[in-house]
Amino acid sequence: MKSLILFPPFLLLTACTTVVPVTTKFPEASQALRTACPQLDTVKKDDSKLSDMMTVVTKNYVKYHDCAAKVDAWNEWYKSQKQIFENATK
Amino acid sequence: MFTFLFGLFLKFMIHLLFLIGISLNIFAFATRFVPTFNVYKLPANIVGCIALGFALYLQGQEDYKAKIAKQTTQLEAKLAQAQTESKKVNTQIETKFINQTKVIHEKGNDIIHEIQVESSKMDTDCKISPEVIDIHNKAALLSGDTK
Repeated sequence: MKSLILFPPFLLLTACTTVVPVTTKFPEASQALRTACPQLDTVKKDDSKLSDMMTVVTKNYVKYHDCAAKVDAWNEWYKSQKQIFENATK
Repeated sequence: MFTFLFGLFLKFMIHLLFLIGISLNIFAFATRFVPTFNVYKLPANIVGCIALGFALYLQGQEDYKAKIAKQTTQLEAKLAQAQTESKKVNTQIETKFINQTKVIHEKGNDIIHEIQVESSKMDTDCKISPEVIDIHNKAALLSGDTK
């Protein structure tokens, strides 16, 4: 019977239940960053010249540096977006 | 307009209910001194308490809703600002990446041109065996796939 005393305060507290209608959208990254890194080039077997091989190797280095720049950009994107999100929800 | 009028009406009803609750409780207390009305003491007390409790419930709910609405507005403003900032940062990162890629490709093309200029000298001094090409291609086709 004594526990019934708790019922009115409980009933009064049920007034404090409201769902906050705020939705957040996940930030979109740039389209330029969303392409996969390309496959590396191979040397044709009939091209046994050093210059041809050097050309292929250089092209592959370009591809590597291109991909490395993309990874760096993604890291920077993540860091800055995280910072913005944390500041907004403080 | 309708929401505003409804809110005003709700506030009026809450205050009215509160007033009725208080009045009925005062009336129940006053019946001690007027024995004629003593028969109404218990019903007045019960109805008064219920009215008071319900008025408090509604008032609490209204205050809480107002507080939440204020917080929601603040949060929405913060999120809108964050979205603008996010787009700005995206553009900066994209521009930086495109510029870097452009420079990488330009430098790569310069080196390939240099190789072509020096090719006659390179090719006479050094011959590449098919085994070397095989090893190079194996390395170029390396991947982390377990298939």
